[in-house]
Amino acid sequence: MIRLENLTKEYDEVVAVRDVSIEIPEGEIYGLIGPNGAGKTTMLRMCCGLLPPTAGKVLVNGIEVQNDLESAQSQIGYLADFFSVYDDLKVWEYLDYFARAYKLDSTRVPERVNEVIAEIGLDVKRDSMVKGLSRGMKQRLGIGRAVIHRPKVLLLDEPASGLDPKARFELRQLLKRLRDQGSTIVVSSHILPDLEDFSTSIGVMERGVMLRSGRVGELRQEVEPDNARTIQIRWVGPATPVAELLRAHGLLQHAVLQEHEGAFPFRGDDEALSQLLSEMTTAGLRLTGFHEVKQSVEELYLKLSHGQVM
Amino acid sequence: MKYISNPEFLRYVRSELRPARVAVIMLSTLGGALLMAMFIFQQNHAQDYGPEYWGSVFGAIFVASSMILVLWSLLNVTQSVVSERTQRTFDFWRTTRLSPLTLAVGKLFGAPLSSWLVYATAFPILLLTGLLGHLRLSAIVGSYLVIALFNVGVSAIALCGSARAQDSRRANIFMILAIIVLVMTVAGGNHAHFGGTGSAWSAITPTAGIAEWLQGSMVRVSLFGMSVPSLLVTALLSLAVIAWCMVALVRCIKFEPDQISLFSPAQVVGVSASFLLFVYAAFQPVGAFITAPNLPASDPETATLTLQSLIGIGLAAAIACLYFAVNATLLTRDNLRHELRNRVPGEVGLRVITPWLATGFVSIVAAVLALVGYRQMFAGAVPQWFNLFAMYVSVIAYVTRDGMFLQWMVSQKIKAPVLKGSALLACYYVASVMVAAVIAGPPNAIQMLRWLTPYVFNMAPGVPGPGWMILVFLVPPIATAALLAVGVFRSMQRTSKAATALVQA
Repeated sequence: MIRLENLTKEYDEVVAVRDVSIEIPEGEIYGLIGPNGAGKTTMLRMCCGLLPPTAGKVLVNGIEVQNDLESAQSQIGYLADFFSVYDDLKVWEYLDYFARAYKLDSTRVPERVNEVIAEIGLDVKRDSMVKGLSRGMKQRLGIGRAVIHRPKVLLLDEPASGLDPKARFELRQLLKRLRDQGSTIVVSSHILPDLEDFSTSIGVMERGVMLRSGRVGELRQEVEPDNARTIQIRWVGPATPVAELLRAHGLLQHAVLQEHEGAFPFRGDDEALSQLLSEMTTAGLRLTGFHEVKQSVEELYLKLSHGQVM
Repeated sequence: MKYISNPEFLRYVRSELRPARVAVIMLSTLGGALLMAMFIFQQNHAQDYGPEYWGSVFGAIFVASSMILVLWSLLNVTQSVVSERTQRTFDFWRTTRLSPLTLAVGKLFGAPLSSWLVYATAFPILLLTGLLGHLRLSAIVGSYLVIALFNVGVSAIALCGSARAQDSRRANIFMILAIIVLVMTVAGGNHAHFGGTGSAWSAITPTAGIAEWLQGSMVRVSLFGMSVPSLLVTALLSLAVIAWCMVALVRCIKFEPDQISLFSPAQVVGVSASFLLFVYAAFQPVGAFITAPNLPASDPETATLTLQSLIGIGLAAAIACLYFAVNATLLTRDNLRHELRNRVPGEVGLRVITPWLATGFVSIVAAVLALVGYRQMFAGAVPQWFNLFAMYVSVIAYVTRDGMFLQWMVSQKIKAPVLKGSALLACYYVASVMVAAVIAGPPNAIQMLRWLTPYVFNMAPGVPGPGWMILVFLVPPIATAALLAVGVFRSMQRTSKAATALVQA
C-alpha cells in the first residue's frame, strides 16, 4: 500500500531522513516510533506530498506522490502533529468544507458528514462551534477531517500527544474502528504505550535512520532469537520449594524470586511449559498465578534502539 | 449557499456572514452614514437639503466606504494565507484536492468579505444621496464599480504578499509598505495632470478620474500618444495586475515560500514585458510637461530632450525589470542543491541566467520599438544606436554579475541573504562613484567608472564613442560573474557531498 524507496531529506548539512526503504502492506497499523527529532514528521510530510524529498520516492497504492500529487492525496488522509482547526465554523461546517475540498459528490456530502460525525462520536456537538470543543474532541474532529474522503491510507503524526487518558482511550478506540474498516494507518509517536495494543507493525527511527521495521512478532523474535519467554508466577507459602523445583529444571540461574512472586526465563514450546506447570501443581506448590509476560513495544524499542541487537 | 461552488469562499461566507455579525456590520454602516450626514448638515451654513448638501454627503460616504473597503481588505487579505501557516491549518488545505485557482479566488473574495459587506451596504445610500445631489447615475454606478475593481487588484497584490510571507510580522510589514505606496500613489495621481492630457501613470489609482467624472468631466491620459479616459486605463491596469497575480498564486499558493518562487522564469519575462509595455505606452514628450501636449516636434532642443528622456526612462525600466527578474528567479539553497544533484553545474548556471538574459533581450527589443514608434516626437534628433546597444549590453552584464553575487549570498548560510546582498551592491555602486571621483578626479571619473559600473555614456562634445572598447569594458563584470558562479557551485557541491557522505555512512 505504501512503499518508500531510498527516501532521503536533507536540510543543508543536516540529513533529516536517511535512505529509508520500507513497505507497509494494506490493512496494517504501522507504529512509527522514535525520539523527538528522529525524522518521523519529515518522513510523514514527504509521504503526503507536503515536502519534496531530496532523493528517493514515495508510492501510495502504486501512485508516485511527487509525480501525481492530486491523485495520491485523494488516497491519503493526514493529521499533523500540532494543528489547529477553523474555530469560527460549526462542527458540521468544518467537515463539510473538507468534504467539498476533497471533491466529494456534492449531493453525498451531507450524508458523509453525518456519517463521520457519528464515527468520531461528536453527534451531540454537531451544531456547536469548533472553538467550544475540548482538545480531545478537536483531535477527533481532526481525524474526522482526515478520513472524510475515505482515504486508503491514514497518516497520523503524534495523534495522542497532549491528550488526557480518557481522550487517549477514545482515540485508540477510534483508530481500531478505522482499522476494522480496512484503512492502512501509519501512526507516529514517542509515547509508546499508545501504540501498544493496536500496532501490527512498527518502524524504529533514530537520527533519520530507520533502525528496524517489520511486524511486531518478527521484531520480538529478532530481539530474543533463542525464543526465551518470561514466565511470571505467584504463590502462597514459602519460596524454597519453588526455588528447588526451578533448580531441578535448570531455571533458577536467571530467575528472580521474591517472597510470594517471581519470574524466570523459559526456553521451550507450549508443551514443555504445560509440563512444568503440571509438575509444580503435582509437587504441592500452591500457585495463584502462572502467565507469560509479553515484551512491551517500549521494551522492544529500547532494545532495538540501544544497540542490543545492532 | 448551495449555489456557491468554491469551498474556500463558502467557508468564509459561513464564518464571516453569520446573521448577528451581518446585522452589526450593516447597522454600523448605516449609523456611520447617518452621522456623516448630520455632521455635514451642521457644517452647512445654508442649513438646507439642496443638491449641494446631498452631493457633499455622497462624497463623504463614498470616500469613507471606499477607504474602508480598500484598507480593511488589505488588512484581511494580507493575513489570509500567512495566518493559515501560523495557525497550522496550512497543511490541511495543502493536502486537499482544492486547486490553487479555487483557493486563490476563494481567499481573494472571501477574506475581505466583511469589507465588501460594508461597501455593498453603502451602495443604496450612495445611489440615493448621489441622485439627490444631481449626480449622473452612470457616474455613480461607474465610480462604484471602478473602486470595486481597483480593490480586487490591491487585494490580489496583498494575497501574493501573504502567500510569500514567512510569518505574520513580515506580512504586517508588507501591509504597511503597501499602504504607504498606496497613499503616495493616490497623492501623486492627484497632482500629475499637466494641461489637458495627463500621464498614464496617474491612472494607477482611480481617485483623480473619479473626482472629475462625478463633477461631469472626464480626465484623459496619454496612452501610446493617444488621449484615452483615465478610468479606462485604471480598469485595464487593475485587470492586468489581477491576471498576473492570479498566475503567481496558481503557481505558489499551495507551497511554502521557500519551496517555490512567485513566478516561473518564463512568467518573469512576461511580467517584465508587460511593465515595459506600460512604461513606453505612458511615455509623453517633454513638451507635454512644459507647455502643451501638442508641442511642435520641430523644436530641436525639445526633440533632443524627448529622445533622451525616452532612452533614460527605457533604461531605468529595463534595470528595474532585470533586478526583478534576478530576485524572482534566484534559487534557494535547497533547490540549488537539488538542481546540482540532477544536472551538471554549467547547465544549472545557464538555467539560472537565462531569464535574466531573456529579460534583457526583451528590454532591448522594447527600446528599439519605442524609438521607432515615437520617432515623430524627436524628428530632429537621431538616436545613437551603437551607444544604446552598448549601454543595454553593459547593464545586462552587470546585472548578471550582481545576480550571481546574490546567488552566491544565498548559497552561503546567511540570514536574509538577498536583502544583505542588495545592500552590499548598493554600497558598491556608491563607493565606485566616490572612489572614481577621488582617485581620478571629477573630470576623469567617467573613464574610471566605465570599469566599475555599467557603460557610462560620455556626454562631452568631441570625445569619440568607445567603438570596440565596449567589449573590453564588459570583461570585469563577466569575469566576476563567472568566478561567482564557480564559487556558488563549489560551495553547494561541498555541502551536498558532506550530506551524501552522511547518508552513505
